[in-house]
Amino acid sequence: MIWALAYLPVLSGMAIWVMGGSRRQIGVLGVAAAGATLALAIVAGGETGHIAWSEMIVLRVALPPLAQAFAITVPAVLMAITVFAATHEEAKGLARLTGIMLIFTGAMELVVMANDLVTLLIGWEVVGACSWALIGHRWRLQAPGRSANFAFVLTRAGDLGLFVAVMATFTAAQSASYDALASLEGGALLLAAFGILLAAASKAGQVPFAPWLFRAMDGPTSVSALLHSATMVAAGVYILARLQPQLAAAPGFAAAAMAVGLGTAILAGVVAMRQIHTKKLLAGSTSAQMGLMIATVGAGYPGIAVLHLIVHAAAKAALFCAAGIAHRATGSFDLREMGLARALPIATVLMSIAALSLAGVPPLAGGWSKEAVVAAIEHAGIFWAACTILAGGLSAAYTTYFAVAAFGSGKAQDAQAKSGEVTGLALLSGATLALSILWIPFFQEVVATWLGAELPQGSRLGVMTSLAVVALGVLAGLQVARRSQAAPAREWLGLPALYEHGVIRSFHAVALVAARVDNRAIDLIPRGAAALARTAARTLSRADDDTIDGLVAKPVQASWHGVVGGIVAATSAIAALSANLGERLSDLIPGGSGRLMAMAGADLRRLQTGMAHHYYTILMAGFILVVTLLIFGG
Amino acid sequence: MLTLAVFIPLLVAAVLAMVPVGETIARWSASAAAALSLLALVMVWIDGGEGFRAVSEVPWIPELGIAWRVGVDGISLALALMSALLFVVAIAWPIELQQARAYYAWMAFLAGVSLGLFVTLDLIVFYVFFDLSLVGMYFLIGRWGHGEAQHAALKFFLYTLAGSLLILVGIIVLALGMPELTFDMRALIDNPPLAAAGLIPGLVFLAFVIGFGIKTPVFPFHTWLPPAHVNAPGPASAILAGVLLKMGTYGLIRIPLQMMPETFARWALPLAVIGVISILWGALVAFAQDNLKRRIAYTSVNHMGYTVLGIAVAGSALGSEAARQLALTGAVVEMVAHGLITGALFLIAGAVWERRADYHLPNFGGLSGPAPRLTGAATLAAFASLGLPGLAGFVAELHIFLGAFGVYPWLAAIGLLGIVITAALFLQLLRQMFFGDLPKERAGFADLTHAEVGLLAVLLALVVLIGLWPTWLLDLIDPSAIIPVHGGGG
Amino acid sequence: MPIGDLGPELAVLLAAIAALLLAMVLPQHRHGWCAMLAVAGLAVAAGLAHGQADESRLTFSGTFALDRATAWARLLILGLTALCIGLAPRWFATDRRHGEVYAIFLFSALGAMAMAGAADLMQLVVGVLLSSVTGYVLAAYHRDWPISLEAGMKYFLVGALANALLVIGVVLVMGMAGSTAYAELSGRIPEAPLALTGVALILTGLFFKMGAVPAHAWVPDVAEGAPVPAAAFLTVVPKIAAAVALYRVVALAPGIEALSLLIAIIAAMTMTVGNLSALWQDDVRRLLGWSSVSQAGYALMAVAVAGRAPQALPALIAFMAVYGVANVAAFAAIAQLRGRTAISDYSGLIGTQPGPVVALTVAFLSFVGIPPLAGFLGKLALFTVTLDAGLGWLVVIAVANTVLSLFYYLRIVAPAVFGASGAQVATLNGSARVTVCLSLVLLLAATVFWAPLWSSLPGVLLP
Repeated sequence: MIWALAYLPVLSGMAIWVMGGSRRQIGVLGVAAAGATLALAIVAGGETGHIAWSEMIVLRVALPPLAQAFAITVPAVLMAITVFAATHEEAKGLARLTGIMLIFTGAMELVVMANDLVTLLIGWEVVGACSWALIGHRWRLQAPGRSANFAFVLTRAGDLGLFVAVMATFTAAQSASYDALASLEGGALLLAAFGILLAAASKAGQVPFAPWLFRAMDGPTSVSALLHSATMVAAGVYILARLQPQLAAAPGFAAAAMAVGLGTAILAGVVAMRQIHTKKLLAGSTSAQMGLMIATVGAGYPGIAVLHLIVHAAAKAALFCAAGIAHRATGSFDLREMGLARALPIATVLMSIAALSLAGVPPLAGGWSKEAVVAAIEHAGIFWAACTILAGGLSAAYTTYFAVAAFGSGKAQDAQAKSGEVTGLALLSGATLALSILWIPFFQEVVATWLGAELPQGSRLGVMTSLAVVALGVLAGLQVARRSQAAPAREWLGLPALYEHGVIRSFHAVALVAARVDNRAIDLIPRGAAALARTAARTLSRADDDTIDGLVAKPVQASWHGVVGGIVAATSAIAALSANLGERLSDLIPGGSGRLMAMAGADLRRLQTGMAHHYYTILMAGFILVVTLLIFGG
Repeated sequence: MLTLAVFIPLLVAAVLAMVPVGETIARWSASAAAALSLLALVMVWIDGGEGFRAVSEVPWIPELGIAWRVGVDGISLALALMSALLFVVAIAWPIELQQARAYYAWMAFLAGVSLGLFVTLDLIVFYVFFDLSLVGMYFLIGRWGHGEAQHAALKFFLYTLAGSLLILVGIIVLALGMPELTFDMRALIDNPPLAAAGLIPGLVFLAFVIGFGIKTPVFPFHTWLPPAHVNAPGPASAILAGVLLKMGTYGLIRIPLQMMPETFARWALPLAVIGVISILWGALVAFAQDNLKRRIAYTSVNHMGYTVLGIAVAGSALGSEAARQLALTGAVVEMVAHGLITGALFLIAGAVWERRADYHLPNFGGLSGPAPRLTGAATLAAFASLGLPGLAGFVAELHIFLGAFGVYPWLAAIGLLGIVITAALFLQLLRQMFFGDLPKERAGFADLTHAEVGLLAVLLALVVLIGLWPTWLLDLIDPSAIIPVHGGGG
Repeated sequence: MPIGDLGPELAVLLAAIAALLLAMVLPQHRHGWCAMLAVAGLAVAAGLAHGQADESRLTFSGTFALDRATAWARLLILGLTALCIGLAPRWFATDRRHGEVYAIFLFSALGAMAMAGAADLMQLVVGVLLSSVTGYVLAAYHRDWPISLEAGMKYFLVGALANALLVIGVVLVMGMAGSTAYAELSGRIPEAPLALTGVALILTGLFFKMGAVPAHAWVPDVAEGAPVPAAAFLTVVPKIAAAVALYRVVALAPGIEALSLLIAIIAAMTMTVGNLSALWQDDVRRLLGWSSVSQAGYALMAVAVAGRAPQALPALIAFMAVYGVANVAAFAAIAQLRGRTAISDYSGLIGTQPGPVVALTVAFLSFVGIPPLAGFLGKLALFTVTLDAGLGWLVVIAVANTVLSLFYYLRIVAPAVFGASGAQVATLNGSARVTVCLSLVLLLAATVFWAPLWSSLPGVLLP
């Protein structure tokens, strides 16, 4: 039953991919599949299951409230996005897109309900693979392929952390279950905690892994919407929240999480402010928001982090849909080309709901969850709190900037939004609105008790400041939106360039060198042996020829070489004559040509008998050797 | 039963060599022979049992303790099953060639000797099949290869013969160490003849490592592999990578690990280091290759590196028995998985050659337009090879690394880097071959035929099955026979 | 003095004389009959020899050892001689003195038998001389072909010196030890320099018959120059006899430590020189000559461990037997191809002449020791005894040489099998073809019947 949560979307996704069909059919099927998954997620709460590969490796899944909450979110978001995609994306390859998005969801559900690290690893990597396929969806173009590879390799580099965590846990506890993880201590716990943190940071697009999120923008808009809200990046935050109880004990884990999170939150906020590309702006904001959540986990409030994750999912997905609509209206992602308020009034309204929520403006859901985050981090210290509030202000700023620049008043264009697109957007914005009930304390209690999350009590001062900063941020956003700025000189503060030059190119160079070495040097082992044999053989056969034909000028000397060749090649003794040998070795080429001449003039060679005294020389030399050995060897 | 599995293909090979029959008949009889062997092995598998099963013995040279002894344990049975299946597929694989009858005769011959190597329990018979596999592959590459075929075949034959002779010397010394001369594997396993310390055991172990290392191949003895692969016909290199390479690692388990465990334990760490170097070096060099087959060939070095690491860990007397059992299981699963995956990859490469007689990656691109089936198969195989969870490669690597971390944590951590590099190189390969825009001269590239798809499907289905539910394979392997939980390994 | 003990030898002698007389009376184109007569004689001799297989005593007042080793040597010599004679009829058909060649073959075989059975240094000298003198004639039988004459000439020159040394050696040993009978010499050869010099001289003489360093130089010339049937004979029969004789001599002096080392070094040198020289030969017959030098080197490994490893003698005889059959098979294939020698002539021959090419390939793979061919079992036995005696380094050298040898054998096999199929080639056919098949079958059968053969091999020697 619970496993179906993973394989139902996967199988139905494959089915849709194979069958294909018209936009409508695909859309309906996709929504149906997502709906079924959603239903499963609702009924499967609290269930557990396990599959034993062997006595030692057992795959476990479970669906505690925290997990279930997110397990419900994923297909819900997918449903809306499928509606959007079915009308927005180009018909060619739509079936593949929808199918893979479903598989993507299935893998994500596996991550959500995983109850041991191996299961987690499986879902984790499959999520990565699906994102590769989705980012590279438009395979006929060059860029998406490269970006997809970049994203996969970079995130997989982070996944190594998860591998290390699995290995450490397993070695220490003979099992990889979350319970075993809880029983860890000392070095093993440290490895596990920081390994998971690393993996989470890479998936959640934290510094220094953030750039892959920008590259991911080469994928279709719907993919970005899914990837940035409920899957992939969300996986990073979710798994930290899920494992916080087990990992919190690790020394330095909390601090590290908050440092990474808030650092990213602020940097990414700045980056987002400087964008003129709608999707890249949103990508920056995703990194920033994920940073805030990770910091919250670090501060010890996983429940709050998950709540903010859910709220953010709805809003961010909506904003991406809006960006997609804007793109189809204006044919570009350039914020300076937009201003669609008049052209698309409905879309504008729906978008602004999501925007306000993301900006953290009361009374929308985002406002509450963000204040909760601030309150949570306050408990970790005033400095952290200050960073959080600053990050909040930034998020308010760039969201406003996005909203006003894209959907503010501008030159009127006669653009039309397709009904499906608007429906998808509406669903998501509606969800945002619905979530706003979280402002009502009663529902807060309900949710908190269900999730088993404690609600942080923030200081009045904190709330005031944070709201004030949000207001400031909105104003700043308006300012930025007014004056159209130029594209940033260096993407993501030059991090991508750093990867390009520091890692990728140098790796290519190293690989090339290695290949050359492999061809030249390593292969010398056999070649060297061959060359040795050949040299010795040439020497010998030369001697052999010398002795059967008198072609060489000084036969006697040559015959001596014959002897030398024989004895040296066999025992490498008689150092006295080695000078001659060296001469002979250096003399190989003329020697060889001499042999060739010998073949050419075969008749001459045949008639030239004799030279048998060489045989005598050899024989006597050998005999002397024999006698000496017999008499003095014993 | 096992004897049948060995002799049916040999018999068919002899018949094909003598009787002039048409190409189709030759092809089908050869694949039928391999299929029958597979059937026989499956029956042995169904019978089940512990330790060495389906044992039978026919004396050959009693004075020297040489006899026709066959029998399998979980490891050899798993490998034999995989080999038989791969042979069925590779022989049935459609391919254009002259002197088809001789080709299929050699293929059947190779099938017989390869299975014989895995099922025999006599060291001399083992050596016999070990060398015969060289002869068969030599003629296959030299006669039906392309490009520098003869040179590559010669290099392969000479290099691996050198290794096999070292193995022979080692075998003789082991046998001489026994109370009375015998080449019965079971006897040598039950009471290993050589002491742990001393010069002789060290040298013997070295001989085995070099001998099997050349065949495996591990760094730095791998340079015969790329040319052999590049110039061999597709099915032949599928066999070379899928079956022949396993002989090296299988021998490493069967002979040094089981017959001189104490010496092995002393030298496990260097061997593990060699394994890790092979992992990284193979991946690194593969990344720089522009030739489809060379790239796949070097990934074989990388994957065999995982296997060697697993075997070394299993043989080290360190860590917990559980960890070493995991490592050994992983090593064997890696062999099976690599056989299926790389076999599929080389068959795909062969299909590409059949269509365009070109392996140069930059000359391709955008093939997923004209050839979606080829793209699908290649993508699945590539992801399996880079160890994507849910596919066979991951199961193997997970076991190996879990085990290795328990014994040599640092080596395991370093070896992990390999999986990132393999990911990079396979994704780049896929992009260069199948995505981007289609070069004009590649227009009208024919997709895989239904026969080809069917054959590949057999392999890839197993890859997925092992990836999702490997229980049956893990049960079959059952490493506790080699590493008893109560403190084995010395 | 039971004359019957030498029944086989006498049978060969009489057959030789009969063949000679028959060749006088028959017209030249009927001389093929002499071959049948010779073979018949050999068969009779073989029957007699087999009858004495279980004897184990010295006869003719201790000059002739009638033991298992002799029996084996006799049967091998007789059988292989018969095979070589099988090649002769069509080869010599145009030769005016066709018939006499069989007589010479038989005399040479007689000499070899005498050599192998010798239990007295004098007897040894007689055997060596008889087989040598006839050998010179065989090598130079094509009088109007300079290369053949050259081969005979060189064979004679080297042989003369080697035999002279042998005789001197015998004299020295007799002078120092006071006897020439093995029964009395065994273990009693004084370690005085003069006696040791004598031993060294005797060994050198036997090395010449075996074609081992330092007296190996004649082998390639003879293999290249002598008529192919004679070449096959000379590179096989005297070597087998010499191997047994050498083993007997070495077994006489177990006390001399250096002896084993000396033989080991000679073995290493012989195999290495032979292989390295063969490496770049473009003349198949000369290549075969060098390869037979290297094979002699392998055989010497068993001699080197004489008395130190229980299985040394069986290993030696088994290896020489397999080598002999394989070598005859190879030469038979060449004879069947009318003695074509240039490697280039072999390109693509598999298409037109599968029979000889397969025979050549199998023989070569057997030389290399590719299992399960008998050559492998022979080498296995050699390696086993050598390792048993603790001469690991020698085995390693042998291994390296084996790899080396594979290269030059493949230099012939590869073009023949892979190359483009050439035009039709002339063949000898007749008895030559029969011989090719026969020797090939023998070679393959050796693998199957190895166990009984091995168990029937002698473990010990007389005296």
